[in-house]
Amino acid sequence: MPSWLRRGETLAVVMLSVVLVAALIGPLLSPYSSIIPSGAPHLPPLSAGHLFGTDELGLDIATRILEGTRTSLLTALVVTVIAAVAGMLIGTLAGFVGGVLDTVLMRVTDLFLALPATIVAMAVAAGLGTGLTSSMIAITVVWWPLYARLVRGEVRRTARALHVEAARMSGTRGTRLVLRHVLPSVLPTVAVTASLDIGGVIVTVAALSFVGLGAPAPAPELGLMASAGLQYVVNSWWIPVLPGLAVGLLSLLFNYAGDGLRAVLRGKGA
Amino acid sequence: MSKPHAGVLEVAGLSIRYTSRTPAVLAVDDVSLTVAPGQCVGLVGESGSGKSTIGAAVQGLLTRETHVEADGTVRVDGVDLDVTAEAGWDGVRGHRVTTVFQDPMSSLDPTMTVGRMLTRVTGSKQESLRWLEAVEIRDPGTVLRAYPHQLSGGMRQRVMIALALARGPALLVADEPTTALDVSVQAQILRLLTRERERLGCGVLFITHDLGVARAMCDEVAVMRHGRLVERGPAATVFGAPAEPYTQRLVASRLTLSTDRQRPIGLPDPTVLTAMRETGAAPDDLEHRWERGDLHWSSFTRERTEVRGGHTLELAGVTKSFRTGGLFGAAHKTVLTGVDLRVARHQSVALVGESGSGKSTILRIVAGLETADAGDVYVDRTQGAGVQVVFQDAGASLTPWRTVGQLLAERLEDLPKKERDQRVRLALERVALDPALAGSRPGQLSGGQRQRVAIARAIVVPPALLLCDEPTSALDVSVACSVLNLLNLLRHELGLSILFVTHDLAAARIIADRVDVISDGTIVEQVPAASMSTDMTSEYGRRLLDAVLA
Amino acid sequence: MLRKTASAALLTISLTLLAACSGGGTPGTSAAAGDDLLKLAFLGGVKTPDPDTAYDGPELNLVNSAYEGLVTYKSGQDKAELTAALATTWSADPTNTVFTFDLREGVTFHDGTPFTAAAVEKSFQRRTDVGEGPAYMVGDVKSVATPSDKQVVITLDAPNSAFLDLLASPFGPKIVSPAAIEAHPYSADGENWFASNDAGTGPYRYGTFTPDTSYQLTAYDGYWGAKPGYPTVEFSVVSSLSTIQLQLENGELDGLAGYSDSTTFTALQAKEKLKTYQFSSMQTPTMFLNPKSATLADQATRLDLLAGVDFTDLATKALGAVGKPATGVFPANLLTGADDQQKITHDGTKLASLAAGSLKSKTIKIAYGATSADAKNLSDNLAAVLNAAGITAQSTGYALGTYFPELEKGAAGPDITFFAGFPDTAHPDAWATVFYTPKGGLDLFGAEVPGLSDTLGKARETGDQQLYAQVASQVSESGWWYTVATSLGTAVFADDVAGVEQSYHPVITGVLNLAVLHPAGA
Repeated sequence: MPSWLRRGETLAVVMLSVVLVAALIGPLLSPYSSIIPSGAPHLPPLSAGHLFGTDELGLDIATRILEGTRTSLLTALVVTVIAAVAGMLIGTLAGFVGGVLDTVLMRVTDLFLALPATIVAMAVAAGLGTGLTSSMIAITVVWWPLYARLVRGEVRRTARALHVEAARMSGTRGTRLVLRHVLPSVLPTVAVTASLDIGGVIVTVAALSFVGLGAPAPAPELGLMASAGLQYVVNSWWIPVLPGLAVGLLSLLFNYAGDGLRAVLRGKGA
Repeated sequence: MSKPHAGVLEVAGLSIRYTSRTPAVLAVDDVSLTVAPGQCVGLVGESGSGKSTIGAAVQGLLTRETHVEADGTVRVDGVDLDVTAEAGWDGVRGHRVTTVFQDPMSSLDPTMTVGRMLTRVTGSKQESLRWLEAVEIRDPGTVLRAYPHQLSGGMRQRVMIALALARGPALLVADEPTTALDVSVQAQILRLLTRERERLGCGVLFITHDLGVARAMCDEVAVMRHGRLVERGPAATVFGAPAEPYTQRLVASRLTLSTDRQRPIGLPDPTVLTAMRETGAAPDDLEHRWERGDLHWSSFTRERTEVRGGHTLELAGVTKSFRTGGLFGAAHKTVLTGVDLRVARHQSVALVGESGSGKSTILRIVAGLETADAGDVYVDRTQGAGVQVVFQDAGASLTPWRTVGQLLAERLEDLPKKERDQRVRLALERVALDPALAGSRPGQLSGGQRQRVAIARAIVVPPALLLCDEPTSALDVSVACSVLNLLNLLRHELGLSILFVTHDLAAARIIADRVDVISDGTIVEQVPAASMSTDMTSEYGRRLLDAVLA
Repeated sequence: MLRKTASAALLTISLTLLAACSGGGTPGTSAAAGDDLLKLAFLGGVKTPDPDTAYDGPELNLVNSAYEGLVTYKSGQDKAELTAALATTWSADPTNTVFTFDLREGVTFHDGTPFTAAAVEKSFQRRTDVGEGPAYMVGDVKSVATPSDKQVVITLDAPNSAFLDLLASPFGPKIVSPAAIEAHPYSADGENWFASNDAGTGPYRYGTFTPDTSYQLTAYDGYWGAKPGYPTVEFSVVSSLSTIQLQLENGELDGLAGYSDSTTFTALQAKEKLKTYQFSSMQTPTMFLNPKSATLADQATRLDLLAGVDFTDLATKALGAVGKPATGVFPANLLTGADDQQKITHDGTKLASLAAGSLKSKTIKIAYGATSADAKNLSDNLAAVLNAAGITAQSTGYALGTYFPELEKGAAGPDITFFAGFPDTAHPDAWATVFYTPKGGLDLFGAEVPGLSDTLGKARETGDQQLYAQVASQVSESGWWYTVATSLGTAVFADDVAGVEQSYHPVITGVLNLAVLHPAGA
């Protein structure tokens, strides 16, 4: 890997840390509420008191992007963790026990894998109403199979490894064998995949709220801001473009940081 | 050093430092050596001795590495070269110096047929065919059309040799060219290399950890340790009358068919001595008695109260086949056909055979990792805690993220913690490992230490039967020597029954009471280890005997 | 994995940017095509331009250019005034049950068939047979008698003071060539000949129609009235308002009727070579409150909320150039000479007390149909106002298919919705019955004021304005509806197009009388 890329990843980690801190404490620092108008509508960026300008209602865009970022991060984190844990549970069970259970679980996994996130989100929204929780459930529902497949493959591979056979010969069986000798080798892969996935989940959350399946207005959600603002793109470009850029930047940062993590874990393994 | 300035390779005062770590690692320390045309110089040493770094340096493989510094001079075929700078290497690398690596797969282009690769060098198909014939490839026409992955390891190595020699190099660097091959193939390849060297008159720098190979191949031998040249001279001198203690130890560790199997092998070894003292049965003045050849394994044999006789392991008519092939043409490959094998109580049996002979399958069946298709497998579990295995690749058999203590303790789950710790400590002491290593992870240990951890795990609760799968073949000679000594000590002290799978008759002879030869899934003969070299009659057995380079 | 997600991210960015740039293309294409061709646009396609199915809006620009009814409204004035079309005179009996029409002479349909009284009967019959939304307008017709070729007498089942207005409605019954009706019978699931052909008497006939791409109108030479100002009018279908804006700015379009949102309209106002127009209409953005709402079912809370919101300010902020605050209950210009005032007086302090009182830690859910910019802006702005006052409020848009089902969810549905509706015609009954009675069809939450239906029934017979004034005050006092604004119909035209002021419709927005447009100076 060329050294400039390494620098890029380091930079990504540094920027990501800044973004994380900003997202955590930023809303506290901002003098404005993200849902109460704080200025005239359609103020362009760099207006006095409004770094990124205001939207059609006069809400401060910078404040909303900060809070939207926090929501995105939190959502993505929760979704990824739940999907990873659920996927690991099912993948491990399928990979380790094998046989009929494996076949059944993997068919079920395929079934979920084939579902498009948007359709599931619509179904969930129909049942629970639109909102952040609904889109989180929907994304988790379509996201865990990826981990189940990944983990199953890794578990099957690891289960055949010599050290697992040796441990089995030592009399270690069942759950204990999996927990002690199999899963730890799967964890780094899952961690790397998850860290790379966070970017994807952020984009998916934004995409769902872009098509109106996320939290209702005036919740500061990046996808919603971009979609609601799209009609003003010609006359007030900053209203949809800045939240859109924020989504892109966030997911790029997570990708680079995830790549960095992968490089670090690979380096350790070598 | 007969003609100091006429060598195809002249290395003077070469030092190489890897600066990627702080402090920098001195991989090669002030080494000088010369290879004359037509001469084969062996560069011998254990892993980490710096021999491969020299091999890479003289091929110009370090010029693109960052973090490498070098002093001294390297002159290849009369050209002065800087091992860390690209200048000058162009017409040399791959032309004046060519190489045969341990793993030809990594240096053959997987996307090209052998013919294309070879014809690029030779210029014509006829010439390529001639070269394949020269490296004793049967049916060279077919091989020319084959891709590397379609060839066996031995064939690939022959192709590699043809590629290396067809360029007409002044110097051939052979880096462990036979280590990955079966013993019987190894001998053929070595003969081939010697013949072609003599025919072509090129110099050979032969890098190996195997003293037997070096002795068979080389005119001159240079012994390396910790980056330094310890001793150099004609092969006969270095192996016959080594001057340096390190060389003496190495040479003494080398196993032949005449090595005394009643006594510890090699020179007195502190790790083994420690383990011997731990038994409590050790005679006084251990080290001197060992040195004088006055230390017999029998002095460690414990009095056993139970009646002798009976078998720990009985295999009767064991058959096994595996499914091969794809979705449709599913074929069954028979691996074992009617194997009968018995290991008597306290007996040690070596199962020898080349790869693919079925010996590992037997081991896996006995270990319970596979089940036989037909036949009886009986293990007398009253004699100990079932079956334990020491694998060839000890590193891979130890779960990397568990500590040594945790790994050993897993066999003692039902004991209280205090007793468990005590037993773990005891087992580690038995294999002469510092009990403080209980907190280490396998990655922090050396190869020999890992193998001893694997043995300790096997004996922390003495098993009815200990299975050893080539436990020494991946180890350096001196380390292999201690492991064999330890196994012998444990065998006598604990009265373990052992089934020892190997392709190395010399090692088999040390551990085993009886040697069973397996070929094509059948046991072809069973001979007492002591009289092996005379009693062995099967064709395959004789071949193996020949492969042990005397 | 990196590449995949990263490109998804880039896609998001580029989509946003693309939207910003799209439509900017093809500079230098011909500016307005001079005096022969008028180029206009539909935003995102139109419904089938069959006179008896058309019930949406934009397609009336086609339908009403090719067909005429018996009577119509004068275009280019705020007040809806009946004027002659295919009937030259008309009269109603005192009970509003029997209507007599004298028909225009010398009129021929576009297919050459002469216009006679028989065509009226056939056309009414077709509307009933087709049975789509606008069929109700002739539903009460008991008989159509034709004493002569030039006279029809229509008898209703029951008195209806709104009947003439229904005939004049932009969606009202059109007179179609009986030959064409015979030749091309309507079938609900078959190919509809009338979707791309016309058989009316209007100033234009249908030219080349490429559905969802472009629609052309060409002048009808045999038209009985004044010749239209432009021989050809072409509507192209454009998918985004931004594109339309750019095409107007660089002259690829000559004009646009309706569609503009306030920002676009304001931006276009500043452009040279373009003239912008704002017209009154009867489209009336209204707030509906859910009678099953856990918070707003309580009358005191509901009325306090309505009093607390400054609707004048809300309408101004939310609608900007495309609306003006309403003062009455009924759509503007609908009740004449009667009291039509909101009964709720604004009191800015009420919101704070609600926030601390009955709406404390409650969430007000506001819904709107995602296709309506007016409704969205009102929802968003009301949410902002409530949030600023400390009352948690959400504003959610629903796609066409989910909006109405959402409103029917009762207590689980939204508390408030905004809807920018208009009456089918300029009669108070067409507004009040539809929006204020559960049977009307657009009483979105099904709210009901006791006795209101009866009052409206009586008023329908006589057209008594005082009864409608009574309805207005009952509706206002109930607090289930609040009339927020009057939508302004917008039009943007190149400055070489004249007659726009004379072309607008008094009832609905976005539909112009195209025949009166003409090149400036001509």
